Amino acid sequence: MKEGREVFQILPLTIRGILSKYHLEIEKMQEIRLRVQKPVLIRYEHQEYFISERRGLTTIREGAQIFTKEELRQAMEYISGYSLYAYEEQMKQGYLTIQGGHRVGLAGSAVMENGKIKTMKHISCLNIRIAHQIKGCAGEMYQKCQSEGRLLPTLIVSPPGCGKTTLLRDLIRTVSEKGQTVGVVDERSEIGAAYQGIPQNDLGIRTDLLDGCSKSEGMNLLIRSMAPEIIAVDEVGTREDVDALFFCAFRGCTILATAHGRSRESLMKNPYMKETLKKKMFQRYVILDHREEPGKIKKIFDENGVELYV
Amino acid sequence: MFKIIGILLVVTAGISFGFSKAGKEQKKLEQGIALKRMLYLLQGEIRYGFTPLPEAVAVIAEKTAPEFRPFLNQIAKRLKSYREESFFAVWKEALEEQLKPQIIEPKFLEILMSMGETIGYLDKEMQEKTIDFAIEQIEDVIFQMKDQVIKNCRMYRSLGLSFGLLVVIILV
Repeated sequence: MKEGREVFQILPLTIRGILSKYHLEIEKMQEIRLRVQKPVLIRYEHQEYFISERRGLTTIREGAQIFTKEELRQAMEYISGYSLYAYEEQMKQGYLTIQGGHRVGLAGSAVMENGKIKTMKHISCLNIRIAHQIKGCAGEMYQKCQSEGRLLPTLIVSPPGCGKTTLLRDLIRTVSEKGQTVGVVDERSEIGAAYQGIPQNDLGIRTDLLDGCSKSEGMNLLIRSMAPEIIAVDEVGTREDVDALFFCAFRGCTILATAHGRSRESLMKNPYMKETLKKKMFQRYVILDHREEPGKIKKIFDENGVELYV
Repeated sequence: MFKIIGILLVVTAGISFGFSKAGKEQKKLEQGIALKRMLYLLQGEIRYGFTPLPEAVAVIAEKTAPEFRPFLNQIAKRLKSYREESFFAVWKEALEEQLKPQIIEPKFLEILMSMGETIGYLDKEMQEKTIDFAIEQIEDVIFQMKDQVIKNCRMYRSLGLSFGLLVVIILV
């Protein structure tokens, strides 16, 4: 399937019509923001645009396509495959991942039960983040994060939207192709974009993917069942995640993970991630900070905080 | 000699007619049971696999009675096109085009139609309850018609034979 086709088919028919009419390519999009009674916003080649029936992509707000409540209903039907029940758990976290590994963020009214979010209702905002597989984008990073052909424990640190999952995905593929066994816990189906258990993205020939499983449980399970040399996970940060990371590290696995943050220092503000820094769990910290150039490395530090490359 | 052959033919035709009517009655029950099985499969896909409807329907089409496959395949195909307004619209259309000509007992169609209105809506629990309710209703219909079907089968078989004999007596 052509990349991005899955995104096209979850959009309401009116928006699909405009994208088709002006030959706008999903591959060049990073984000589509849909808010009820507000103009549709598209981040296309790293610039924000409105869309309109008359002009296609435009920076002029006048005449921009307004997203309606009916279109939202239609989009939700397509996003969930007419089956919201199948995404109950994901909806509690405020997003769901569609086929192809693209993430759809939701905002509306949260329904609370015993202090926890039970589900979302009256959804009014959607943020569709388009996942891209860029083969070879982690080549340079791999050279800086390996020693004698073995990957060093590495943490990719970046704010949202800077390409950390894209980089992680390609690094997994690279180490796997170079001969190391990788176990991937893909809690949100964003790394492998598995469809019926089979990864749609290329993760290399020595990669085992555990899809849709919580990171903490998945890491323990993979260690026991698949004996990987490297365990790869996306967006760690909770106490359970960090406990599981230590469990894997103590069993001799190399950890490859990503976390939200702007710098090594910002990780210190998270009490659980601070622990990983203190105990030197990672030997490489790769910092990304370029929303305009996703995947571009800003800095790399070693476990002692010494900057290796700029 | 020709008379005997004629008598035999008329009696056989009468018996065949009786058996064919009885078979149709019997099929009502079989269809009810096959529909129940189809709904159990759908419930299983939703309950244990959290499978979305387009996939769930396609999976159960492979395992269900052949006469219901076109119905399920049409739904799966239409849902996967991602151009349809709602699940119910697709379900209703497939029910009318594919299942209506097949199903003998109209009550089964009514049950399926009303199930289609609420399926896909809200959470997993709601799906399970909706399907449970449809299964219960089908069971009720089967229960109510079981005795009647047995009686009708007997009646059609004897009527067939009697009709054949009556024609013979009149003609001879």
